[in-house]
Amino acid sequence: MMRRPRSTTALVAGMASLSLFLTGCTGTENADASAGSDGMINYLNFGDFGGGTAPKANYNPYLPAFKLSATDYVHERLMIVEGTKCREVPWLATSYEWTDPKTLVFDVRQGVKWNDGKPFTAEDVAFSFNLLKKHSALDSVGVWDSDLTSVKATGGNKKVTFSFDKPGATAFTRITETAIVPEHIWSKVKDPTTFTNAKNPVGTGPFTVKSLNPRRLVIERNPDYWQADKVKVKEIRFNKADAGGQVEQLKLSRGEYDQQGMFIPDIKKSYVARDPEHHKYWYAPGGSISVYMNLTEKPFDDVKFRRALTTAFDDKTVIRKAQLGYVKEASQTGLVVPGQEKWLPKGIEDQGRIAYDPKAADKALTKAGYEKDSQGRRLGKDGKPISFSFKVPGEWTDWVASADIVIKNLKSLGFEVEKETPSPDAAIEDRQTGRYDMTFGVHGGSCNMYNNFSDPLNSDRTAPIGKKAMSNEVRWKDAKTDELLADLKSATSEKDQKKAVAGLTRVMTDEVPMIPIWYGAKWFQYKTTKAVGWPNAENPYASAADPLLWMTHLKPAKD
Amino acid sequence: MTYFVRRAGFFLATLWAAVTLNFLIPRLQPGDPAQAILSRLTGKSQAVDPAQLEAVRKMLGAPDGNLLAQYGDYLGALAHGQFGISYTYYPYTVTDVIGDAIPWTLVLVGVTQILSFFIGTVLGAWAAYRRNTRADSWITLGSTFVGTLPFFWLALLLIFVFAITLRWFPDGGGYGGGSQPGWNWLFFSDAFQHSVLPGLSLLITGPIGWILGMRNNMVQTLGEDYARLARAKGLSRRRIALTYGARIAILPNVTGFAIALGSILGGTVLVETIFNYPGMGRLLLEAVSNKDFPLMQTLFLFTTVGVLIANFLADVAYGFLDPRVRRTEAA
Amino acid sequence: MTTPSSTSMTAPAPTGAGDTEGVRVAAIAAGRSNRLPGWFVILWRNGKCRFGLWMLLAFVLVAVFAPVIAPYGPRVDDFGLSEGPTGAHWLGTTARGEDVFSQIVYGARTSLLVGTVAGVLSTIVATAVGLTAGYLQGTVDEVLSFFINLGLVVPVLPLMITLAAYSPVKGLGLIIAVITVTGWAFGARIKRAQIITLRTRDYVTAAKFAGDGTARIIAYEIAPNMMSLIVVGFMGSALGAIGAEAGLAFLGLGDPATTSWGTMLNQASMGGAMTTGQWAWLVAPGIVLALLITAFTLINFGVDALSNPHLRED
Repeated sequence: MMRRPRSTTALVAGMASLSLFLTGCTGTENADASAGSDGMINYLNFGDFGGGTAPKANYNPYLPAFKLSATDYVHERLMIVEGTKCREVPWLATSYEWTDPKTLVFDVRQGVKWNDGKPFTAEDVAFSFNLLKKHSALDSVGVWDSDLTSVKATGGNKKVTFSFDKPGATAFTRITETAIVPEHIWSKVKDPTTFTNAKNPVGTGPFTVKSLNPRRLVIERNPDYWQADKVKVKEIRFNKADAGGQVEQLKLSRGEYDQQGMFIPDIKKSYVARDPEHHKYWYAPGGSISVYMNLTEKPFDDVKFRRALTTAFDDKTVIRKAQLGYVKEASQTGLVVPGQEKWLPKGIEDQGRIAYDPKAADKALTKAGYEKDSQGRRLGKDGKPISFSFKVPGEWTDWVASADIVIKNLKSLGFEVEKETPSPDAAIEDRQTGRYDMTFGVHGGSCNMYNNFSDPLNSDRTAPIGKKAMSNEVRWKDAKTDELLADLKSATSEKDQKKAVAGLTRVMTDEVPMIPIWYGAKWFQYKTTKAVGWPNAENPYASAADPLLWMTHLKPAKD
Repeated sequence: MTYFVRRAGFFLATLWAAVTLNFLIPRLQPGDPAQAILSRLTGKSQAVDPAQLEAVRKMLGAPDGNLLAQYGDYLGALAHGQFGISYTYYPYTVTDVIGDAIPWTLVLVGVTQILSFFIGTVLGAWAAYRRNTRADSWITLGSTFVGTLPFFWLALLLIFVFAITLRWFPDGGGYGGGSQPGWNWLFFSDAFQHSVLPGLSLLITGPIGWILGMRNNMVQTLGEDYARLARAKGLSRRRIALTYGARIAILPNVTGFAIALGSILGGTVLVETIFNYPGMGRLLLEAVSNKDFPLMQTLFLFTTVGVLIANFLADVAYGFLDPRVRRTEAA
Repeated sequence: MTTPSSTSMTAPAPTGAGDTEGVRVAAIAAGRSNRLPGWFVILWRNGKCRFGLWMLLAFVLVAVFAPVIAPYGPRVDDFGLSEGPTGAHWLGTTARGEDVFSQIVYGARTSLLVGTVAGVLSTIVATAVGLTAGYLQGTVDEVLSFFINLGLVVPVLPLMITLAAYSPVKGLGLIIAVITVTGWAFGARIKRAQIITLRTRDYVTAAKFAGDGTARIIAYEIAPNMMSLIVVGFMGSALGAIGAEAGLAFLGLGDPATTSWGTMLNQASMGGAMTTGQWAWLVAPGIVLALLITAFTLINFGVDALSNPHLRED
């Protein structure tokens, strides 16, 4: 290498020119013919399509952890409950009705065709749900975990009836999350749990699969789609965007994606500033990220202690410094505000956000019997200084930075806090088995209010220390909470649901099982050079996870 | 003969140890593959749906029976060449996944290893022949410095300069989204373009070990008595260097080369990760981070077996080439 | 071969392993006049090696006086986010508002610490195993040799990644342990070969007849002759350890809370140093890493001369 610099350079130059030549031959990809003359968008470039670093065809909608993202454009659902305001948008069903608290009837849309030309009927719907009953490993949304007993096509094959043995209102969003597959194809599949649906997947959706190679997945518009007049996008190209990384960030900042959902540092400078007119982003709030205290330990088992801590954390600094200002302050109610504000009980201040007030925290702690000694150490009721550890996965640097601020807040109140940074796997396992004093946890954020509160608070969903809890990782056990959850589960009217949710938010604010700090952001970047009509803060008609809704809203950009 | 029997015995014993290690490592570790897959999918800032977790757990299944029974099943499956279903690429089998990855690694790393070996050996021999001249200093010092540049850092810079700024080459992947893998010219030219940068970063740092090794070996052999004798007999310096020095000095390098070829599978994690190259190294990292035990075990096994076979062949070859080795080993 | 640690496995064995008595004689001659350890004198006489020693010294000084040299703490994040180089921040700031230059300075500590500790540990393991196997021979040797050979063929980098990824606690200790566990075999093999040639030497036999115990023979008769090999082993391990730490940290398998050049590169890569055009943040850790490894490699030239008189510069 050293001896023959000349020949090496020549070799490199030769390869370079060869490659330029080759690019010239194949390089039609960059030609940016965006909007066609027919009022359509020729194609859009999207981000990653799942399936690991070397994806293989898999369009089985019941394998959410393994399917490629085209699946969501091929298979549709009865209704879409969009993820921002939880609006119910009729889709393969035109309407629904609870004929009694144990019976739910959907009116199935007529005139819809599968993309192989066969008509779509209520039988297909019933088949899909019964398939999940038979193969519980496919039931990833847990439809049959509720009190559902049967799903039948009724009303002359125009209706689907869901029967429950207990009031089944909470199953509604789960039902709407379940994809519908064609009976005439899937009934012939031997083992649907290992079915990849790889060849021309048949669905009712607006797109069909055009081509796949491990770097790119292309889907094209289905001209016979039941609302084809609304779909203005001819083709979507998903590009393998491996594990974030800086090359991906660069591509995003250069505007190589029409839509992407990835973390990028300093987005205003690195993305928006590159083309302020067209580069946009919208980070809608997702689940609450909270300080979890191990409620089986002292002093965290004392409600007065926990209540005192609600003003102890400097949420705003966490958001500004550790979370780069991408997220919003979380409400103590456990709801995601402002999206879910309709569920807030009346008379709650600032939608349940609690301002940082270390003096109030200090006072409340002292009043609750946790005094400071002469050295400024906070003493427990046994007279010993309170000391505990804060566990946070060391690899999640933004969480670590957030924990640093929280720990600083705690130390200034006189607690001895030690930070532990295990690996994410170990941290998650410790959280599930209850081997922690204090840590961060995630809960809520979905459109299923029952799940939002039941997952983290239901005493059914916890386990003794040392055993894996299903989802109640703080180990909250409270009869009143369980009662409210039972009420919510059986409430079919919105009024009753609201009443139960209000009660649960009061458990959150008064009993403080955990202290929400910030809402996790749903990454969503988009570009308006080819297409306009993306959901955003001004028009939050859908969330980053509802591509079917965008597809009926996107229109070609004017110029 | 004992030498070869001993080598074969060692080969089998090591194979067994590797297989067993392979079986044990995942079982000694905490964590839950279903959890790992879903956590990655949902991201750390959203809650994982317990229903989904349950479904994935059911799907992947859990090994049953006690450890010994599991070990028996594992050995049995291995003997039948069944490596199981990948947790990352469910429901595809590990064999499917690895089969796609092997050619990429073999071609990219194989070609660069061979080139590195030739470049390195020639340069090293030249440096030794020209010992203590300016050429020698340039080669040794220059290659030392270049060889110490952190490989992954060099790769990042290559991407930044040639892929991002100049846009001469693609920034990663084994081929572009536009071409379809297959036996056609378009795909080959595309694949070639994608291999230039990773290949270059391997070639910059690759030959260093061979240069230094060859130089040292040759300086050593040139100082041996028979080389001195040859010079006293009036043979030309050049002839001595070629017939005595290089020929003997290359022996350790050749065995080293065999071993290096055997271990290419393990040595590519960094390059493939940085360039998103669809080979075995990147697959290994992915398997590890997804807790994809079947895939990880199989990759690890393949890697170990590759090294073992190469070692075995190198040993056997060496035993034939240099009878002295057989004697010392037997001692 | 992508990391120095894996090259150690494939690198051709030093062919002059048996020839250290020459060193001893030369070293004694050299040491007499200087009153310095003989091996050090040989190292010092080698121009490349001397230069390497100076470089290493500079790194050690930077590491020791890091708090004095660095303008800020490595984790102080009170500055603007992702800034380019300025007068206040010579190499700019990170995405979290930390001073890059200060991190570089403190990073020297991590690299040297890992190099030294992992180097010492694997040298100790290698020496202990190699000496025991080579001196005792018989069944003990068979068993130990099996483990040595096993250690040689198990693919190092994959094993490192697997071990590092699955450990519940990340940290420097883990990285050091992983490097030690995966990196001792090569040294052990060489030392075993060396002692097999040494134990039949006349002076060892003489000591045996004089009634000296095994421990005494190893300590007084054999160990001094092994010194150069041990130094070689140590330098090689330290070099490998520094590179391996950087590689593992770069892959995100290190502890992000420790400031090391590997984690800096990882964070620069993840933190968008390229997107925000922060060259310094990306380039600087690589260069210092290369310089430190160069220092070790240069010293290794001298060390090679220790074990192989033909390579000695006069």
